[in-house]
Amino acid sequence: MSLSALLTTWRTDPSIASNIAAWRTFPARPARFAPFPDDLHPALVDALRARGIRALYTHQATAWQRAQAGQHIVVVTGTASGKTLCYNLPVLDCLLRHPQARALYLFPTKALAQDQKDALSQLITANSQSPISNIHPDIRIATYDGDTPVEARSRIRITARLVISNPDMLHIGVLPHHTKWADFFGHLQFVVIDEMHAYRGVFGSHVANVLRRLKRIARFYGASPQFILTSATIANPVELAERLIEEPVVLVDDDGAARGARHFLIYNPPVVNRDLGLRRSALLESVRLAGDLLQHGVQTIVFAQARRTVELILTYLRRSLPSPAFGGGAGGGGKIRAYRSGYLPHQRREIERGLREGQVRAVVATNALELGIDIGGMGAAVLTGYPGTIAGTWQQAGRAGRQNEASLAALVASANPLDQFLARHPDYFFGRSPEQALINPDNLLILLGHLRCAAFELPFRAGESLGRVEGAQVAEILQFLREAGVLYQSGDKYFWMADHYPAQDISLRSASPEMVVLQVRDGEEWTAIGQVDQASAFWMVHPGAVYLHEGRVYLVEELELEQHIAWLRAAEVDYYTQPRSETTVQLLEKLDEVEVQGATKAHGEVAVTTQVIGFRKVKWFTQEQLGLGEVSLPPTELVTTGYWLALTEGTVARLREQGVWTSDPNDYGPNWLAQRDRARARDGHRCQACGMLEDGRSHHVHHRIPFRTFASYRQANQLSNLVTLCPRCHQRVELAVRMRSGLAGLSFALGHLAPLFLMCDPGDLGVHSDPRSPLADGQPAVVIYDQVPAGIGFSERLFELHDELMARAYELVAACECADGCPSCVGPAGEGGAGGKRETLAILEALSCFLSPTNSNR
Amino acid sequence: MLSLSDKLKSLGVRIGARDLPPPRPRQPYPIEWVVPGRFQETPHGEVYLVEERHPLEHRHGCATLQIAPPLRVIAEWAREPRLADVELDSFAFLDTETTGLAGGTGTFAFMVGVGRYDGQEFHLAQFFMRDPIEEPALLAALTEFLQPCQALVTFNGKGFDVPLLNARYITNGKQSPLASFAHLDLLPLARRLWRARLPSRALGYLEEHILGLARDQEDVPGWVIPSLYFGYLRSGDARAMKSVFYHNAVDVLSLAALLSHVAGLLDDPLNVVHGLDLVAMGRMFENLGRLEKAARLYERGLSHDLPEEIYWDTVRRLSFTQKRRGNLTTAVTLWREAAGSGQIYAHVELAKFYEHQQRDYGEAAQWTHEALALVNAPDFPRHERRRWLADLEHRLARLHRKLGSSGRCDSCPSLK
Repeated sequence: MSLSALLTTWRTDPSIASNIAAWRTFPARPARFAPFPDDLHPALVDALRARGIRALYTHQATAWQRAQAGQHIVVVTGTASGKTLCYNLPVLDCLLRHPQARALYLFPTKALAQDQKDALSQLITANSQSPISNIHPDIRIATYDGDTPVEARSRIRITARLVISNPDMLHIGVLPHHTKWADFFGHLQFVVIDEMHAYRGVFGSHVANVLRRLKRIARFYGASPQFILTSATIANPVELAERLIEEPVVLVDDDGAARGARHFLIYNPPVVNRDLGLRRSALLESVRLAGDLLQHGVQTIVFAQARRTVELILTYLRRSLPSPAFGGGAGGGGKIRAYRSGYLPHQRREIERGLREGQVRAVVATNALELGIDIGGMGAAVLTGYPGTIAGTWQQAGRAGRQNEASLAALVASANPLDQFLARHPDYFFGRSPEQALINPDNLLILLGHLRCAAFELPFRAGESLGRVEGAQVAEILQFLREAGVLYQSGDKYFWMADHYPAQDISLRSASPEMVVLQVRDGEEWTAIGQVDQASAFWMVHPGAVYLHEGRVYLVEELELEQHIAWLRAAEVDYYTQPRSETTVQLLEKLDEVEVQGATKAHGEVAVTTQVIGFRKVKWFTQEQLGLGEVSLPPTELVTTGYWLALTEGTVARLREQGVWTSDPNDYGPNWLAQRDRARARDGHRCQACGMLEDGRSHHVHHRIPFRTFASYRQANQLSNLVTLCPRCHQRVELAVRMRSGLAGLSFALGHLAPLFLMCDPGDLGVHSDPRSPLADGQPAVVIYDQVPAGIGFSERLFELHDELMARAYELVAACECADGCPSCVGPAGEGGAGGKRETLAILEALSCFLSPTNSNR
Repeated sequence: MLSLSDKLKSLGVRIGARDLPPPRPRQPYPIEWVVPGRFQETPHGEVYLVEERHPLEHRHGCATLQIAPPLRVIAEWAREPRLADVELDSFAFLDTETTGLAGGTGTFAFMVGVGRYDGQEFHLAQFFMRDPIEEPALLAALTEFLQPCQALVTFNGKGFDVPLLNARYITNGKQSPLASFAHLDLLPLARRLWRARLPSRALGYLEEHILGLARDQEDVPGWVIPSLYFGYLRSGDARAMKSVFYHNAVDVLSLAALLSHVAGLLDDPLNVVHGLDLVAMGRMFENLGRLEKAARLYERGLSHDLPEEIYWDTVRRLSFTQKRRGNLTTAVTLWREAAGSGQIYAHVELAKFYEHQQRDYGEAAQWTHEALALVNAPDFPRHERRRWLADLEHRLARLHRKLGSSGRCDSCPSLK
């Protein structure tokens, strides 16, 4: 049994083959070599030869030449293409030739740093039979991060020639103490930034500022280091690199490494209910594909897009396989493991080892693994749902096939509109150059934080700039800090004058540096099983939430925000929970506003208030709703930038005309007539909106919560859900409902489509619709906002892209095969009422300038 | 368009440890009106300097400023042999007042108090920057003042003052003069001496309880000092600095007085009145390998009323010190006493003594049996039991082997 046998089966099995939206095969590719450069230090040549390396790949040779020419370079080649030699050769060569020289390597995670240190140490200090040991006995390499013992630190600062760290440590532990590193910074020749694409969005914007500070300090000690960056494939590596280091950068991307054949397929689960537009769940289909792969002996990584999903897939996958062969069981151990953030380091290391050594046959992961921790080559990667970025997709797919053999990557499309969009337009996926990584180092809040740190590190001189932030703007912020009493100006200098360590206030990773620890209580004993950040805590571990960890089910009993602890207990429940929240968006300042087809588009600063108010209990497997729970948690406020579109009065009037009331064809169940009469009697046969008494004809009876959202007619027809309305009022209420569902559908579609243009993670955006929006003087509006305080620049970009966004959204909704709205276009039929597909399309027609006017009068 | 400041506020920016209102503009009240001193010229501008001179007999609590080098024991203890060679005139006593305790390059030393012996006088100089722009001048003046010195005495200076001043020199592009100094940090020494006796080893506490010195009303607690300085910078009113000068001056004098006191103690340790101090010094001497003195200090300490735990610990230390010195008879007496109170180690030592010195295997086995009985008692701490058990059983087995040919183990039922 093997991968090729399985692929043949899949090709011929209609229950699989018919769901394959695209199948591309990338042929194997031979390596292209270049001889060792003449100017490479002989000790390094010997070391490479001793490791059986006879030549360089072409991209390694190019990187060498560029680096020798003193250029900053960014290397963009495939997974396992020998990227590390692109920087290790120039750096080690320099350290060998210049006994004073120092180098700094930055990795996004501590685990990667450790891997890298082990690899480098092998290269340098291998056993004595090898000539490698002669390279240089005292090129000391050390990791310096939060795990470094305090007593070892001062020795590392003084003696290490090559320090491996991460941006967070540089930010909080190194730069604010730069005088202890004076010698290091004074001789800093190289800075290596690996996995550069990880530095995008907020994290990237922070890191760009940390690098501004690094360069400022290096300059103070008379050094201006050369940068070597590496990245996964993105469209704008040079732009991102140049935004990060603020220097001209040359690209090295002529990948000379060999590669095995790769199959990439997009799998779209079959439609099971055309009315509701329901497809089989991507999760269950992934489990099915992964199960096939495992039974064919193919080591497989399954990616899920959320921590919660990881646990679900783990559970289902374990159940789907014969347990003697795969040693299931609910606890740890076994051949099928989960791996995600929230696990403790020792659990992670154990799983990584299992994967490398082969006892672990499958791992279910969030994209935590995406970052290149060495787990060896996988036979297959199954992606449950589109990871949100094309680069992310290719990188997850690249987890399969590091060796010279055929491998498979399967993207299982979810009901998510973007997934469906890509499944229907696979060329868009394969053809489009992958997206751009955006950062905004000049985000005011982020910049402010790092200016404080920089002022702490060294006093600012009047007129001094910070990176590309010009002196005038720096001065303005310094002035603000002076007024706030943390800086003191004297002569031409600004001095830090506060009993405070500003780097402590800034986490590079998250808007909320606070973590909530998950404690499991078992009688008197308690154990910490993991942690979540405070912002996620509200929706992940609110009281009553079901939390899954390593396939175990826990019920959250208490969330103590002050103590940063969530108390859990192991529980046997047959449901999981989905949080419900309420959001309001207030206008702070409008920055721009333009009349467009049928609407006004605008962007500006907004305040978003969100509160988790309750949760739904959803039964496992059947997805049946079991009930609602309430929670009382404080609201959180986010001040950020937003883009919104507000329907004009004319558009609203036109939509009203189109939304002609037709009597409802629904079958309301056997007790409907009796319940309807009871409701009328209860309401005294009066319209509960205008008070009019019935006059010969019966009033209508309206379902407050729409009938079709209930599982049973008995619940829907409960008296508490019924209200008597005269036909006129009923029509008005129904129209409002339809307007609301149209807006909800529109915001659903836009929110899911926008990341394709912005090239950001879906979670970086918030979407909200309001039939009477305070952003637009009470007109109906949809707002999309940056989930980051002060914004990262997405909103302004969307404002510019408005027309294209509308056109694509129309295309998405119009092309969807569902009858009246589904999770793949306008969202599930929700509390808003009916599916809302028709209403959404009507709005999009009104807003889309690509459609002819006759069309929009349909 | 919002101003930058309003924009930041709307983003929820709250800055600074506390939102201090700007100080009311007051009449500037310069430092020279508050503390008499002079401006010292340096190549980097001028810095304010306040000086005091005290005779060596100056009483600082119960101590004086008199020190009689060489400080051999202290030098040995501090593993800094250079301290033993330094002339009195080459010592510098140093304490800084800073803008914070957080550390890092954003913390300034706005005042450096430093004292040194000058003939028959103790010369205290306090360098003060009226403004951070005067930092280069302050550092230059400090370098000059330290010119004749080779050794530094501080309190927690290894952890705080010296790295901080080094950082200040480096950020000003200067070589730090402190790097080459022999450094005596009195904090670890105070910990060694008074860990058991005093609840705190803060300098203020030592002054009060060791030197018997009470600071006057003028003093301020250390933690308010940064905010006093910030207030002065913003208002120009230097009056609050008076108490800071006082605080710093007392600190520097206390360094000299404390060293004088400790050097005196170590010079003539047997005259110390506190049992716990005797024991603590015994440990110092023991660590230095001066076993005879250590033994005498332990013995003297044991004659005082010691807390029980420390009493038995001292007996143990004394017994081993005597063993190392070859005084086995004395050691055995101590072990018998300790064994009587259930100390396992004493049983073991006695067993070793009878087995290896006296070749009395029966007696050795008996001590081992007793120890085993104690260790196996139900109330014996479990982790301790694990520590002893293997050793004791191994020992007993060996003794039984030896007994097998030459005699009987009286207390061992299996061999009877």
